Amino acid sequence: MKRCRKIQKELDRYIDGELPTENRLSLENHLKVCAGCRSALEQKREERRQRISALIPKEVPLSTEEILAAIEERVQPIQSAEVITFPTPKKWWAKIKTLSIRPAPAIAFAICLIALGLSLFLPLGKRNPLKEQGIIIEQIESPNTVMIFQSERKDTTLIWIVPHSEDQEAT
Amino acid sequence: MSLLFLAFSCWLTVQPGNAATVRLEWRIIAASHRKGNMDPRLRDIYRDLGTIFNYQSYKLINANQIALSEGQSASISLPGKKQCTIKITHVSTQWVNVQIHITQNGRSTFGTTARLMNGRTLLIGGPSSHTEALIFSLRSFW
Amino acid sequence: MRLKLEKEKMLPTHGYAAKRKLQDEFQEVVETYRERVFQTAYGIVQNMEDAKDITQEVFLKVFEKRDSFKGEARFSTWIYRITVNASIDMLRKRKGRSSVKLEEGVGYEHLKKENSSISSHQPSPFEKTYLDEMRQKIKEAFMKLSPEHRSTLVLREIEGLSYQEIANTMACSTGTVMSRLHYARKKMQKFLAPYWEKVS
Repeated sequence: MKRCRKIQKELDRYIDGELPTENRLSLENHLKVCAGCRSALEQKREERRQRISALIPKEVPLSTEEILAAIEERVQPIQSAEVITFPTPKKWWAKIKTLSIRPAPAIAFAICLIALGLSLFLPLGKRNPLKEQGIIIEQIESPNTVMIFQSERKDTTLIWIVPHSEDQEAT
Repeated sequence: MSLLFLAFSCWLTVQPGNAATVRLEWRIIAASHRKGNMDPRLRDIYRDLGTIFNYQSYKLINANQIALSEGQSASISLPGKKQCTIKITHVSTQWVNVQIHITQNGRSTFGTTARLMNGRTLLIGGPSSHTEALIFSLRSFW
Repeated sequence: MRLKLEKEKMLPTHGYAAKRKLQDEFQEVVETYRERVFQTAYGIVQNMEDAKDITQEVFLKVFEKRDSFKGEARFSTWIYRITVNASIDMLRKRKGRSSVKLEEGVGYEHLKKENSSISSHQPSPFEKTYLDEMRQKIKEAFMKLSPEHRSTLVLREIEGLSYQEIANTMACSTGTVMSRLHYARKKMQKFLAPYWEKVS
């Protein structure tokens, strides 16, 4: 009886195939002579069959193509981007050149102004390349086509999302 | 020795670091082919997009300013049950790295990582119907 | 006045994602693991739609993180781990929402080979009613288990993983695996005992 209790405690591990060899052989020897333990083993196996039958799905409703399509939709990369530069409208001071001014004193004054301005506002030495760039787009993830526009002065960048179909919202 | 240690500690604490907080000005703008008034607050949008698109009017739907530090993010509601999440991933003295994600019902519909210089504007937009478009504008200051 | 645009065509630079050949690289992975992932997910959450969502999410994660898989564990262990974690997350998110719904058509023909002694016996109508009722009760008993106990039971009895493989997947010891299995089986047995007695 005591032996049977010990054996029956090991039945689950036996069915799982996780009993060490020595224990497994000992158990199998006991099963040959004990109908009670054989019956207990069969019951455990039946319970397990019932469990699996109840818990597994009847089918796998997702095909490989569906899964791949869903991934492609989520991570579709941008293959190429057309960057369009839009010109910046001229400011009002561009119109000054059309006024008539005496050249020599105007030029001298202008040079002084420029020199003063440069010394105050521009750092001397190496130009900072980053300041000449606008916004850097490092990565885009979108299921739709994307167009990128940048102003001439590079102070504004527009990412325009173009939907696949006319009915679809892009944003 | 203790004076040296104190001096060293002070030097450590006053080391100049990166710009800690970035101010972001965001705007949600509706563009339309239908004739309407031009919102004066959107003069820059009209100036920039007027050379590309045929939209007749631009309307400011919402705007605000937020301050974010590196690693922080903010979420903004967009029309059409969408959410725009902005995250600052890196702040340096010259630029800020921004991650922007637009989601609808929890699903990502658009994402971008951009490097913004001080004072630059990033616009993200697209048609929301045959006659209208939605534009999200982001400008950084620090 | 509209000014003339000057277009510049730009080729992709480092700033843009390069085109990934999904079909070639990933198809084999999906084909190999699709059934296992879905079965594991369904086994844990017991809901078709949730299991479908989890399966999509798992393969998306596997795709996105494939470069970060360094080979410290077996690839199957890694995928199972992502599946179990996603399923447990789903259970926690939808706590209280899931309902026990008997999926029709599950029968002996769907049993796993290692655990089955499939006979050619066709169940009678009486037996079929008993089987349906039993399955319903088994699902009810299963739903009472915690996500961790469910996952351990599914990995062992449905997926056939060894104790060590389960331990690697769930980042625990084999002792914990054995303890969880023992508890889960005992708890289900206790719940189902009256129904077994009724039948016998």
